[in-house]
Amino acid sequence: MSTVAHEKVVAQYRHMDTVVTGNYSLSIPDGLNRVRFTCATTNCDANWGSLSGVFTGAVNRVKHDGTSDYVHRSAVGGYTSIAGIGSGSLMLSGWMAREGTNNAYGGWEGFFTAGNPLTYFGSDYYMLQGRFWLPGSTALSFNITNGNIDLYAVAD
Amino acid sequence: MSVDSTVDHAFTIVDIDHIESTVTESHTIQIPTDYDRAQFTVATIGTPQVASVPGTLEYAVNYKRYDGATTYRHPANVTNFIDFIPVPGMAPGCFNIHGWMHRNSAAACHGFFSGYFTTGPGGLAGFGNNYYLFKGRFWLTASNSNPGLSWKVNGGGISVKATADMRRMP
Repeated sequence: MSTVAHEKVVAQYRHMDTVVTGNYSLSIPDGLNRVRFTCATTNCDANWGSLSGVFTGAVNRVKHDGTSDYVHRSAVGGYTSIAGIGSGSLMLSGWMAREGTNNAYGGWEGFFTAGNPLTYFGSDYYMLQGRFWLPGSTALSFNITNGNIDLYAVAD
Repeated sequence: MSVDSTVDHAFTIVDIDHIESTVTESHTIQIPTDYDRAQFTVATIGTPQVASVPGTLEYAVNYKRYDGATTYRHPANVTNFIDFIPVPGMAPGCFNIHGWMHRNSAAACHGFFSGYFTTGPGGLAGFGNNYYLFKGRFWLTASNSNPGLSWKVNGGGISVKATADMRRMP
């Protein structure tokens, strides 16, 4: 058992065995400058964006066998989503840091499937890397529709 | 949501550093029953092996040579690997990953890791001419018990650090 006095749990949701719909957010608390997170979803459309409605993101994905590379760049208002996730599963880990008093930037990596839950890897899955910029906000949320989500984030 | 004020509940699962030794040993990362997440780093010099203890491990790995010349995908569906199995292409060399796993139920966990490995000796100080970027994901199940992910080196060095930090929610 150990203690890290300056760390703070900022998001903790476990709905992997419960179907939920909603926005599950993590944010950098006042006085701290970095958050690290892990997130897993299944059986749902997983979107993400900033709670303030402004999100700039870039995503690269590559199919497991290298046959399909995809580059997604967006500067959007409101929620954005990764094309191709469909009703599949998503696993990623990442971090975000404060820039200025009320902006954040970050990155993450993981994978997603195009329609299979975690228990079935299936024949198609994608490696995923992304970065994001949150102007005017230090909050990032995952939008889940009729699916499952595990999300845990710690600021340090 | 209501959150903790500080993280005072991080639990060390494994903390072994034998990277400078020559050992044959394995170390299991098993989320304690009152936690829901673990994070880990694993480094080996020699031949790394992975297994689920106890239970069934399904995993998929992808790796790509540093220069893009070779891309390899391990078969996506592998099951019932109860005994230790080597990941193809790794032996003997250096292996270094970080990853995490979440509990899905009392008897199932899923996770992801990324890192690199080399295909020849030389130690961590000598990356050599060939190294591979490496990613993998896994799904662990056990019929009546809490599954774990075990890493083994056979006649080499190994370092494993794993910490659980997400208390099981009521």
